[in-house]
Amino acid sequence: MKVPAEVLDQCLLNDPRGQEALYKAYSSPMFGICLRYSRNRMEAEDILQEGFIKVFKNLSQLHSKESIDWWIRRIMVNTALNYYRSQLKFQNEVSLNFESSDATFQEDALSKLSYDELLRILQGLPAGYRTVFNLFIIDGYNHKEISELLGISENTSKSQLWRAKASLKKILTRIL
Amino acid sequence: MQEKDTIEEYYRKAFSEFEPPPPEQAWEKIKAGIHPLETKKGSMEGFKKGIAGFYHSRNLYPLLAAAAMVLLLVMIFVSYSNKHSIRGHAYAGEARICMGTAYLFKVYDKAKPLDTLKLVQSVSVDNNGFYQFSGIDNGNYLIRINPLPGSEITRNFMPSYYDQDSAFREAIVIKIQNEDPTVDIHLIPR
Repeated sequence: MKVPAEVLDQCLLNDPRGQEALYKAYSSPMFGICLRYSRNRMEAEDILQEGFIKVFKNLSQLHSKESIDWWIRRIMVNTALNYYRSQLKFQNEVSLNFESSDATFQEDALSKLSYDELLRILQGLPAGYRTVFNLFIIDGYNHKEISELLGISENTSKSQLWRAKASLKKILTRIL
Repeated sequence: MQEKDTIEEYYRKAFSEFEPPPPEQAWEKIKAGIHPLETKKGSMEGFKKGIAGFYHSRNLYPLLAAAAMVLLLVMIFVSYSNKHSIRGHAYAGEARICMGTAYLFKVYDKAKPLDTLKLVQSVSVDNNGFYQFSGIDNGNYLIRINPLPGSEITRNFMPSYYDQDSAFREAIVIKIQNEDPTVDIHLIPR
């Protein structure tokens, strides 16, 4: 929890001072999420703005103040998913051994890439690949949760992840 | 040989703590979104911030376009609802003239009407002697009819102002005040 409980009380009273404090505490990590799920900075800014407005309007639905970190994060991810929902087109499942497709690189080779470069590569993936990769790899959702969030089957989620990793491997192999 | 790392592990490590600086002015836009009334009733600065937030929200572009269209239509309606017309027939004796030109002059100053005349419209008189001026603002006007040059009527009647005056000094001023009058004009015999 990045803010004292009093700040959340102020937010519940619609006090702009509390809302600004909450925004300052969470804006950086949430903007990171928005950038990962979006295609570019401009769209990430839109998602951040829309996500925080939802946070403040729905704060009364937060059951436990201790879960605020997870709650805000989930709102931001859902806002990003809604933003791209119309563009999420999932290809047919592929019959592959998903576990055997992990690509490996020398750690020092990958570390040559900056955050910006890694982000640009991720943002360049098709919306479906990028979304499942973010949800599974970075945000820790499992395939069952992803299938429910996106309205797809678990196998489709797995195949999207495999395709995302294969695409990243192809791009990184070319660069490194 | 260093330890190998998979792509997803590397991305997970790199982005799990990814906290870039948020965009400038993002808070102001969010604040405008959650406190629209406060922004509205606040200072000029608040007003500007509200406009900025509204302007930068690309999701509102279709709404803005629709609002602009409605505003434009209202302006056109209001603008046309304040306009008037003058219509009538031109006579040479008992008969209506066949073809000619009608001139509308606006009188800008009641105190010095003859020094402040300005031609604002000229329209054709049809072969039934009918003329019409449209889109006229409230105000004071003079109307003059010239019969078609070279016609029989021109030989027998003079160009004339309303009401049967040959010179604008004697002409009668027509006052338009939220009405669309009919003004028949009789040419002066030679």
